[in-house]
Amino acid sequence: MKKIKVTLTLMLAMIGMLVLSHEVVAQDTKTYVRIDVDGLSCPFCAYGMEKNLKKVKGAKQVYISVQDGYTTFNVPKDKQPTEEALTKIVEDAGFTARKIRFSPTPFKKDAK
Amino acid sequence: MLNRISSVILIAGLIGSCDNQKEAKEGNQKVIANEPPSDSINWVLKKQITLEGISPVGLALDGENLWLADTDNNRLVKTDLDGNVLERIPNIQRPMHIDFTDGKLYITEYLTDTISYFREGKKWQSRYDMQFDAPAGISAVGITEAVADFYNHRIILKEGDKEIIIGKKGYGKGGLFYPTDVKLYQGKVYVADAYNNRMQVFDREGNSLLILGKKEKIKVATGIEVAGDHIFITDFERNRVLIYSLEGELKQILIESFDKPADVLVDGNLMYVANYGGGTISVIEKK
Repeated sequence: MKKIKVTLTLMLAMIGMLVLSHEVVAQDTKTYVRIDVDGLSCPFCAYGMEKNLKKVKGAKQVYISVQDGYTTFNVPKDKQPTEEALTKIVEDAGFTARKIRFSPTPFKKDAK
Repeated sequence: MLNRISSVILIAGLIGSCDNQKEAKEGNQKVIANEPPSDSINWVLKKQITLEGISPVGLALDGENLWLADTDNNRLVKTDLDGNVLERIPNIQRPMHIDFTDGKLYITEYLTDTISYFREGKKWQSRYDMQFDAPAGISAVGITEAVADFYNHRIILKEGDKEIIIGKKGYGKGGLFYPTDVKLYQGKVYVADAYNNRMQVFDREGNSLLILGKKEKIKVATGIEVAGDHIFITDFERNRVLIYSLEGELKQILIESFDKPADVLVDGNLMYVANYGGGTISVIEKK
C-alpha cells in the first residue's frame, strides 16, 4: 500500500513537472503583444477591432479592456506581426495605437 | 478706421454665430434645448438603476422584465425593473442590440456574424442568405426581420425568404456609415446611422425618407426606438437622448444622468436608457 502511494506521488510530481516544462517551452515559443489604444470607448468599434485582431495569423487569447484602453494577445514567435500591421488594424477600427509592446512573457492585466 | 471696421465685423460675426441655447433645471432633470417648440413633451428622470458588473449595450423588454446585452462579458442578463438579476445566458459572442417579440429574444452576435433567437429556453439560428459583417442591431415584427450590418454599412430586411439590402456605404441621402441599430415601425425602417451622426428613415424599398440629427450635432447615434408617435435616439458621445416627432420635429433633448448611452426602450410612459459607460439604466418618466 505504501509502495502504491509513493509511486502515485512520484507519478503526479512527474506529470506536474512535465506540464510546467511544457508551459515554459510554450512561453519560449510565443510573443506576447500589448497595444495601448486611444479613444477605446465605443463597444462597436472596440469589438470590431477584436474581430480583426483575431484574424492575425496565430493570434490567441485576444483580450480587450474597453475600460482601461488596451488589448493583449499572443502569437507564435515566428508569426510576430509588424508594428505597421498592428497600427493599421487599430486605425481601421477607428482608433489610434498609442503604444505597441512585444514581450516573451505575458503582460499582466490592468498593468500599464 | 480700418481697425474699427474690423472690430465691428468681428463682433457682428460672433453674435451671428452664437447658438440660441438656454439651460433650464427642473428638479432632477437638466435639459439643454435649442429653442424648444411650445408643444415640447416632458420626460423627467425617475430613477437610476445601478447594475453590478454589467455594462449594457442592448435592451429589450420581456413582460415585466428587462433583457440586457452585456457585451463586455459575452452574455445576456435578465433583470427585473429594479435591476435585480433573474437569469444569465453565458457564451454569447459579443451580443449587441437585441429585440424581444412574440415570445422570442432575438440577439445579434457580433463576433460570429449571426442572428439567433431564444424561445422556451432553446437557441435557434435565424437563417440568412446574405453574409453579415458584425451585425449590431435587430428588429423583428411577425415574419419580418431587419438587421443593422455594421461593417457592411447596410440594413438587411428579410420578409419570409426574401432579403433586400437597404442603404450602402456613404454620407449623403441613402448612405449609411457604420449603422448600429434598427427599428421596424408602421411599415418603415428606422436606422441609427451611428457614424454619420444621425438617424435615417427608409421605406421597404430602400428609399430614404427622412434624416435627423445633424442640426442637433449628434455625435455617434448608437440606439434607436420608435414608440407612441415619437423617435428616440441615443447620442453616445454627448450623453444625450433626443426625442423627435415622426415628422422630424424636435420635441426634447434629455441630458441628465447618461453615461455613454447605447440603447433606449420606451414602454408607455416609461423610457429605459442603457448606459454603457456608467453600468446603469436610467428610467425616465413622461409627465
